[in-house]
Amino acid sequence: MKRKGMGLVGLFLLVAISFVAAANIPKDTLVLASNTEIFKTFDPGVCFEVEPSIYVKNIYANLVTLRVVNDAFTPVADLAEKWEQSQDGKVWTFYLRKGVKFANGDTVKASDVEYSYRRAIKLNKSPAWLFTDTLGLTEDSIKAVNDTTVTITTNGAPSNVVLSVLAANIGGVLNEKEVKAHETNGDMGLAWLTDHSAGAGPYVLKEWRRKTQIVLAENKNYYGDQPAIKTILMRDVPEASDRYLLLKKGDVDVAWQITVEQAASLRDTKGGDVSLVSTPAQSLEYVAVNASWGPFKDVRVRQAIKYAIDYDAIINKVREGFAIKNQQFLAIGYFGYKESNPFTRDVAKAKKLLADAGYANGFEVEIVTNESEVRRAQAVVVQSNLADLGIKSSIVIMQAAQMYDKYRNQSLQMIVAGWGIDYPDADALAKPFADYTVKQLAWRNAWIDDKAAAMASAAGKEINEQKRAQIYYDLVKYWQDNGPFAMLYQPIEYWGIRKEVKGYEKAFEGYNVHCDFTLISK
Amino acid sequence: MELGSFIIKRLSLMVLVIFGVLIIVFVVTRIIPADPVGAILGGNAPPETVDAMRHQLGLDKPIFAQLLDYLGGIFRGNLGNSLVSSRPVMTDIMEFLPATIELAISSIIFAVVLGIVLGLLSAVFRNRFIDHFSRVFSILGISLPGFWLGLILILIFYYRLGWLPSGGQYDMFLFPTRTTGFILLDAAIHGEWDVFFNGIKHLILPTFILGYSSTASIARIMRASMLDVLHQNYIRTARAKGLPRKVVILRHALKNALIPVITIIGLEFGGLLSGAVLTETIFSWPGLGRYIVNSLLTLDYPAISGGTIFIALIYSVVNLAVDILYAAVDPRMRS
Repeated sequence: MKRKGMGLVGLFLLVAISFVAAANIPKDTLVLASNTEIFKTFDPGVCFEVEPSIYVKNIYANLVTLRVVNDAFTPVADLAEKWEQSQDGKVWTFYLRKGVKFANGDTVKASDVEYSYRRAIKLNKSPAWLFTDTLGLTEDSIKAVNDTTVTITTNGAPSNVVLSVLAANIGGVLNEKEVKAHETNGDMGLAWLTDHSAGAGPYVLKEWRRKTQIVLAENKNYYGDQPAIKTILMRDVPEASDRYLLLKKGDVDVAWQITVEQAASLRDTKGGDVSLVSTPAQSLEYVAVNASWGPFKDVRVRQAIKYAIDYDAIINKVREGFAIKNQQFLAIGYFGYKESNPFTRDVAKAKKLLADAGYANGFEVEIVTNESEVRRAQAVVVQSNLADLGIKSSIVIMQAAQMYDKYRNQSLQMIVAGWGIDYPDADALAKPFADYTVKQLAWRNAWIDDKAAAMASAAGKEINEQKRAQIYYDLVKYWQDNGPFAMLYQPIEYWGIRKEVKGYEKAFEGYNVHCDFTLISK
Repeated sequence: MELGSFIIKRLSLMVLVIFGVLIIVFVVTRIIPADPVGAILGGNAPPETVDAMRHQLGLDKPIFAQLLDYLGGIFRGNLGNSLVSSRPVMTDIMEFLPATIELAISSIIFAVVLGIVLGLLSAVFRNRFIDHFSRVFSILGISLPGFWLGLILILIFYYRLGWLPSGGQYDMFLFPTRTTGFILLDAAIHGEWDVFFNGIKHLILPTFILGYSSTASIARIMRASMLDVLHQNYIRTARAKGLPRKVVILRHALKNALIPVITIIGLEFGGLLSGAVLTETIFSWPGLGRYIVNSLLTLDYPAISGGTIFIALIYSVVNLAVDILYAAVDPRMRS
């Protein structure tokens, strides 16, 4: 009897083990693997992280969107079929397409735009400063004139800045009626929109099971062409090795956040079932010194650091070639960008600059960076480069919470870090890197330079494009000579994809600024 | 001491322990020289935005006022809202705790069954092959890093052989009905047997990895305890009476040898709950361990406190249950 019981248990386990069909991914479904820990919300008025932004972009339609045209981000119509600007450049009038519907079938009206933008300002969450500081908007700045016309009164920011911000997540248009129906205690739908959607983009958020998977389904009421991929399923896979194995085995179509080594292996292996897609990331990596600390007060010491760093080693060894040499604050393809890479490793020149500044025997300094593997490796290269000048440095690894606290208080001596671009215009880079008055990177590194600040500020207001570009060229030169930053590179972002996935490269050519799942098919 | 008074005394101690944990967590998270708002908003946010959020979250209040708010909230059963997810911490915990408990229970069952069997056989067949095997198995279980072993097993059983899934609680195209949050229980309640069997298959590798080191500990304690018992006079007497060896071992020796093992099971279960983070990461398991570690990295005060309180509570309850069981089995423990 006992043996019979044991036999039954054995049979049960055998059935359990064999009861799983292999994952066959349907042709109209795209399965992605990523670490979804960064996902906090799908609310366009709140979401400000890179990867969640990619999802939000495909759920919500904006007045305008950005496309990559001739390698530059260009504003194109989305919900607004046309727009015009007042003579003083401050008042913008947008005319909506007629008959566009939200995913639930409600018609998109100008009042929805007014509600969405006012809501974002009122909520005052992470991205709100794009509206309030960059465009100078208040709740009264946005007015629905009639069902299809909306006016926005800005502070007179250049047109590229205005349209880029409106194309960002925060410009996603919500269905006012639906959001209001889901308000709790006057929260303007904040809790509900965390894991639901009310947009007019090509997809809707079908399910977010935290730490398990995120599912997007096609929006059958989308005004544009229906996408070939009807379902996008992102599996939460926190470990990079797992993501890579799932991809190689064919259980996912695309692996996000693979390691540099895995990416290099895919790039260097031709003809398999899996390949690599890459595009310039919307971020910059830099080394910065505190211009108010000891030796770094002297501009010659700052220049010596820039000549000491082995940029090629960092790009080719640490990043395995997944980086573009770019030694200015403007990203490639941005307004005003003109290639300018004046620094190469020159130890003799760096030593002379140090000696001229009175530091021929070097000094001791602390380099701070975060726990990212790439950042730590970059810090080690910099440490070794500085040693060649006689500068003894120690590396301190800090968690983000600790590092940003100290950085904001100007209490770091030297840092290896990165900067993600908030909107694709030169202003989003010139101000943080050169204008100390906005209290971002120039301030954190105590580079209190009125000339640079004035130039960055002037360029941010100049509506004559030629004059504006000239200010940026001059500012880049001045910043490279005097600033506290050694720009290491602009990273290249990459994904491992299965060979049956088509159109991924085009869909992601704008990375998080413009990514369009509707261009993907299998 | 009566069993009743013993339980009351232990319960009061438990309340004190939880209160102590509350205070320690509050103090430790506040004295770290770091700013959670900076971590939440990222590096780009201008100082005005940082200050506004700090005010919104009440982090600009004096620390004593924050402590009072915190304790007041907890006594009202409100753990506060997570700074990162903006959801009530209780909602977050209730979403992730079942997965951790499910994995911890399956791991402890695995560890107890295998650990006791290995320890018993090891003691009974001392210095024979099974004893050597059990000891090597135990040493490997304690010394091999779970992270490494997990990846190796995924490579073999998922990637090479294709027998087992690499991670997650169930396959991606299954959409199970949730009632309690426990996948297997919900699947059984709703008769979703495909999900049930799929869930078991997904449990195998994480259970082995999480339970392996506990198996090793239990096997070692069991072996030592059994060897000790086997040399006791009453065992000798039982044998002298002519009882069969099997009866002596299973009826007389095993029960007494199990007493110290009961204690270690309680401790091991607590360890499985709080130490599951690596297993949860390797096997993409949506549990509380990852939630707490992520909260630590972003210094999400309410989430750290809430998660720690829950782990402390479960740990205390399990150990209380073990102590009661122990006291029931051995009246000497009540004094």
